[in-house]
Order: sequence, then C-alpha cells, then structure tokens
Amino acid sequence: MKIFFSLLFFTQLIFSELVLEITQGSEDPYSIALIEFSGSKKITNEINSIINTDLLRTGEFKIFRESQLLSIPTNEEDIKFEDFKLLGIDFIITGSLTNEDKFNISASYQVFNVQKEKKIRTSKIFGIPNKLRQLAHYISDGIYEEITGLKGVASTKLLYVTENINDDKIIFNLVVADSDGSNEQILLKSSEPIISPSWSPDSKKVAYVSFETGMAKVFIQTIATGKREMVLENSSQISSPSWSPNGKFLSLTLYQDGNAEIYILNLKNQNLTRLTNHYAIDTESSWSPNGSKIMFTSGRSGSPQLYEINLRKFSSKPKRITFEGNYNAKGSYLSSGEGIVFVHRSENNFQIALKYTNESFIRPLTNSKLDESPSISPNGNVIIYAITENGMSMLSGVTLSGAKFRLPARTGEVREPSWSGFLR
Amino acid sequence: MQIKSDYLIASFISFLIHALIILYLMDFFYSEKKVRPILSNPINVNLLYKEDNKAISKIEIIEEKPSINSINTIENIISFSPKIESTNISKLIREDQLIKSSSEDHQVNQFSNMMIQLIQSAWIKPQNIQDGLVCNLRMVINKNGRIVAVDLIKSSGNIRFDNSAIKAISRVETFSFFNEIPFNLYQKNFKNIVITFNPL
Repeated sequence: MKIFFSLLFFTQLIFSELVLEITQGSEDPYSIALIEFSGSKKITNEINSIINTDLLRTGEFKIFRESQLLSIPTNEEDIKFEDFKLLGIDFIITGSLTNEDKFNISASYQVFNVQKEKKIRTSKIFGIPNKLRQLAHYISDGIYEEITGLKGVASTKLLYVTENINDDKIIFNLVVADSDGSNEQILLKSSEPIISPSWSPDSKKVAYVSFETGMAKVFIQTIATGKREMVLENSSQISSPSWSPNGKFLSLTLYQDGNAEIYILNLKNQNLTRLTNHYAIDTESSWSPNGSKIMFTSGRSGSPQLYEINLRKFSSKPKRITFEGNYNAKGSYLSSGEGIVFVHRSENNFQIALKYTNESFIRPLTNSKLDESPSISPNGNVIIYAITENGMSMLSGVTLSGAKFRLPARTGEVREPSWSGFLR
Repeated sequence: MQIKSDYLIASFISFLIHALIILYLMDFFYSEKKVRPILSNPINVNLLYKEDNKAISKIEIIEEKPSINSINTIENIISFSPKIESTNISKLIREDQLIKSSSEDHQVNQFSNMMIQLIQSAWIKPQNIQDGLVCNLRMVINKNGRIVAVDLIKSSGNIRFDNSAIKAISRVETFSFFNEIPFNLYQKNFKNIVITFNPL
C-alpha cells in the first residue's frame, strides 16, 4: 500500500497584495501627525504606508496625514508647534531614509511632544533594501513604545495553519507571517491535517502535531533552518502541545487510553508524565508565565470549564477557575500573569473573553458569532483569534483598549493563530 | 550518662528534621507570591523645573460626585462667631486664629474639589483594566494655574492605567480658577500636589 504525502521543507515565499481592515479604534487615542519620511520616492512610499497601517492597527492612534495639517515642517527648526496645538495633536513624527550604499538603508526618525514643544526621541536604525517591510515595522514599534510606554509588536510574527482545496485535494499549510499577515512563508505543506502550532519561548522554533503518515506525530521545527525533529508519536490522537516558559517541557493532550488527558513531555529525555486523571476530557493545556501553573479545559463538571493545576505545590488538585456560563475553553495566561483570555459561550455566540484573577466576573472582548483559538501578543495588549464569517475563516485581532482589526484570508481557511514572542 | 544525653540530642534533631519534611510535604511552607510585574517602563515625564517638595498636599480622586453642599458650609462657618462676653485678649486671638484656619481648610477643600471635578471630567478610564488599580501622580502648578510638570511617583503596575491618568492631567492643562486662590494659600498647598487615581 502506498501512502501519499507531500512535504516541502524549504521555506517558500508567497507574494500577494495585503488587505488590512481596521474595524474599530480605541476610545481614547493619541493624536499624532505623521510627516512623510523624506528620501528617494521609490522606498519612502512603501515605508510610509507600512508605518501608517502598523500604527493604525494598534488602535492607539488617530493619525493626521500631511493633507490634514496646517503646516508641514521640512526640518526640525521649522516646526510650528502652534499649528499642531490648534489641531489638538499630541505628537509629531518625522523621519528620513538614506541609501548608505547598495546593501544598506538607514532610517532616522524623531518624535516630538507638541505640548512640551520638544523632541523626545531620535533613533537611527539600519536595514537592507529587500527587507524594507521589516525596517518599517521596527520604526513603528519605536514610535509606539515612545508614546505608549508598551513595547510594540509590529515586528513580531504569527504562526497559523491554512487549508486550501487544490484539484479536489485538501492541502494543509503551516505558515509563518509578519504580524500584519504579510510576508507569508510556508514551513510545511501536507495533505494530512496539521494542528496546534505553537512557538517556543525564544521564538526560534515551533511545535505542532502532524498526521502526515496516518499517525499523530509531534514535531519541533527550527524556523531559520527548516530542520525538524519528531519528539513524540502515537497511534491514537495527540493535540495542543504547549511549551513551558523555560522551553524544557511540552505539555500536551494524549488519548492513550481512549480518554483525553494532559501529559508533560520532558524534551531532554522524552519522558512522559501524566498530569491529570479523570474520566472526563482534559485538554488544551497552557503554562502560566512563571511556569508554576498549567491551565486546561476539562469537562469534569459536566460542561467545558477552565481548571488550573499548581505544579509547585505537592499533591495539588485541579482548581476550577471559570464559573460563568456553560462553556469556557482554550484559555491562555496574560503575560503579566494577572488574568486569562479564553473562549466563552454566551447564548449561542462563541466570543473571546478576559478574566482577571482578582475579579469574579468576565469581560467579553468580542461580539461576533464564532471566535476561536485566541493567542496573546508578547506585550499582552493584543489578542489574535480566528473568526468564521459566511463560512469563511480568517484572522482577527482585538486590543484590550477595544480596538479591532482583521487580516482577511487571501485563499482558503485560516486557523489556530499563535503569536510569537519579541524577536530581538 | 554522657552517651545517653547524646542520644537524646540526636533523636531531638532527627525529630525536628522529620517534622520539617512532613510539614513541607503538607505544603505548610507554600505560599503564593503575589507579584505584579510591570511589562515595561512607564512613560518618563520630565519635570521642567523642580520645586522643593515640602508642601505637598494630597488629593484623592474617587469616581463619585463631589459634595455639592460646599456653599452651605460657607454659611456654617460664617455663622460661627466668637463669644464677645469674654474679655480675655489672648483667648480672642486664639479664636480668631481658629476661624482663620478653619476657613483656610475650607478654602483648600473647596479648591481641591474643583480640581478633582476638572480632572475627573478629563479622565477616560481605559477599558478592560482590572479593578483595584491605584496610581499616584505629582503635579507642579504655577500661580496662573498652569500645570508645568507631571510626574508618575507610584505606578499602578498597569501601564495603560498610568497613561490614562497622565493623559487626563495633560488634557486639563490649566486650572482657570487659580487666580482666585490667595497667594499664601497657593504657596502652602497648591504649588505641589500629589493626586491619587483610585477608581471605585
């Protein structure tokens, strides 16, 4: 018997037009004037538009373009702060791009505080001409951090699974892309399902479950080299591998004895330790930021609810942490450890919700019909999730301050997004 | 006899060790540390100039309507008249001072309430932040009521909350009623103010 499967281990680039949709902004945005970067038109156009959309996507800014301003400064001494005060602008951003030589581009940018009438940041960064997008993301992150005090996530990456139908055959792709959905690279192509991709804590590797030979196999793949290593295989199903914060363990769901239970896999010696033991389903584990707790979804109370088990405590029992409604699943911890984000069912809608550990109620973040798989950005401020609308699934994002955006799928279905950590 | 006491000491120490182990296994020493890590540094707001911090008055901002009966209390205080029967001069002076100080307190209260109202109306509390966050800001205000410097002196641990407080202050920019404040009162109480943002 022949088993057909196609695998591509080298990374492959897809060029496509990016469509970005910002559906809602924050209730209290900073007003900023974005003066177009000077330099040769060929590169500045691209940089300017990427910075603009990067900043818009954070939802924290109301951006004034040059056409909306009273005066446009050409250099630093030229800024008439009064003109910006009249429009209620808080910050001014200026910058320039220079081709240092054939292989280097340098960008310098300044942020001015209008109220104080002074410069609060000047930065200079270097990039290479065929990675302008990356350079623009770094500039956006610098601006964002200077104004809000939070680290920016424009230069981080997303990992997700896409599903395309090609000649009546379903093709699954494991894709890594920029945080705005552009610059897609395929890590793995398979005719069998790929599920539960997740980033290692250092964001250099990814773990996922692939059914490419009919068996469930957990792989760890290094992004830079494309090399992968199988760490676990099982004839029954395996799902949702999740890295411990120190990168030494994977928690995962195994169906060994016909029932889903959480296990911890030691990546050094491949030892498996069973964590839960209950006749109900236990699945979708995730680690707390300091590695002391594991949260999972369990049906032990009759409906899916989130439970937490303390690893530091001797003989600890799972503690139920959600009590609202009859469906709370796929939880993950905020990076500050102050709360959790999960999928909550209210009436017949599945929405993303937030619950702080010191509060006894939940805060819904979205209000669409079918939201799945939330993943939190490394700065803890944005949540990316998969939505299904008119039978199409795509990625959508919401910030804690209430801003929303979408990364529409170009083709096929997009599932199970996972947000990387900071990359530098 | 010597051996016996050694045995006693040894068994006592062994008892202690075992007791500790058993207590440890019963999670006697386990405690959940509550830390609130700050994700990144709060925004630096540079002071334009620094005053000495001797006279710092504290105002608490609470999300509730400030008392409207401040006008009534003025009447109350005016009606408080010293007894004239007494001829003791030193007593009179003391009473005079008392009135003065109480009216001063009253004025401070009144102006603080006005400031609180202004800041409250300028403050947009961020969505989806947890309850129980508190942050302290220090403002330096000049005689004309213009806020010349804002300084975060105690972070709430949540940067979005801190930012919203700073934004509220910078939105107020100037307290227009400051020219009504007597100069010595301003020097004493309103030059340097610590505000606590503590939503209920």
